[in-house]
Amino acid sequence: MIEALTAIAASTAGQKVRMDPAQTAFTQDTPTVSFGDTLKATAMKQIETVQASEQMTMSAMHGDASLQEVVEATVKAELAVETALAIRNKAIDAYQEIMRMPI
Amino acid sequence: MDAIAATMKIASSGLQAQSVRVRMVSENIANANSLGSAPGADPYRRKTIVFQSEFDKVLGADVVGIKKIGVDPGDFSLSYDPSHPAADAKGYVKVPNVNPLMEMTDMREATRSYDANLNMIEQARGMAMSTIALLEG
Repeated sequence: MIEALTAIAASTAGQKVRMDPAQTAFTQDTPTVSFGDTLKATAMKQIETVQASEQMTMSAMHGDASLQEVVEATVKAELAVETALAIRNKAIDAYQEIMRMPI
Repeated sequence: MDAIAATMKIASSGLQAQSVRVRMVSENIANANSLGSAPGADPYRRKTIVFQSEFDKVLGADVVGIKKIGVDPGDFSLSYDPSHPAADAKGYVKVPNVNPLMEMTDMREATRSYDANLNMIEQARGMAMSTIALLEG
């Protein structure tokens, strides 16, 4: 989850560089991954984490997985969901901030 | 892999190793009175566990694994019980080399180690949670 955060941070940092007025032309930029793409990739990864946790719980019910593995997977999924929530809230905040701007 | 996720994985391996240890202690205690069935036959032999560190390539860190579950080669003590089917010609029966005091100590140690690993998971979770809380501010 943390590496997902670093990926997003890196992506936004890249965007900041692109917005820098010192850099004159956008076309000179090396193509970077867009913020949306990174967000999408992160979300997909987190969905996978949650699904893995669910699968682990199911196999524990069958008696195939140990309690420790289930707890570990669940904590991992919890952190993934928390991260996703935090990022979503941040994105909505940013959107609302823009909407409040007087034109 | 993310260090905090790796910490949880490593601690989880510790939890599993210690739970196997507790299982083994319970085997020893449950079988403390398991005697042989034929005259002069050996009774239950105390089991021992050996841990070793294993390098996990995905994590890039050492996790704990079980090297082997062996048996205690210690001598059996004898108890005089001529009526028992496992009694030898002199009427002595071999008794398992399980010492309840030793098993209890082992169990305590396993519990402490299990708790330590649980705390490790809790700490890692707390660290990750407070990092995420930074985003919410």
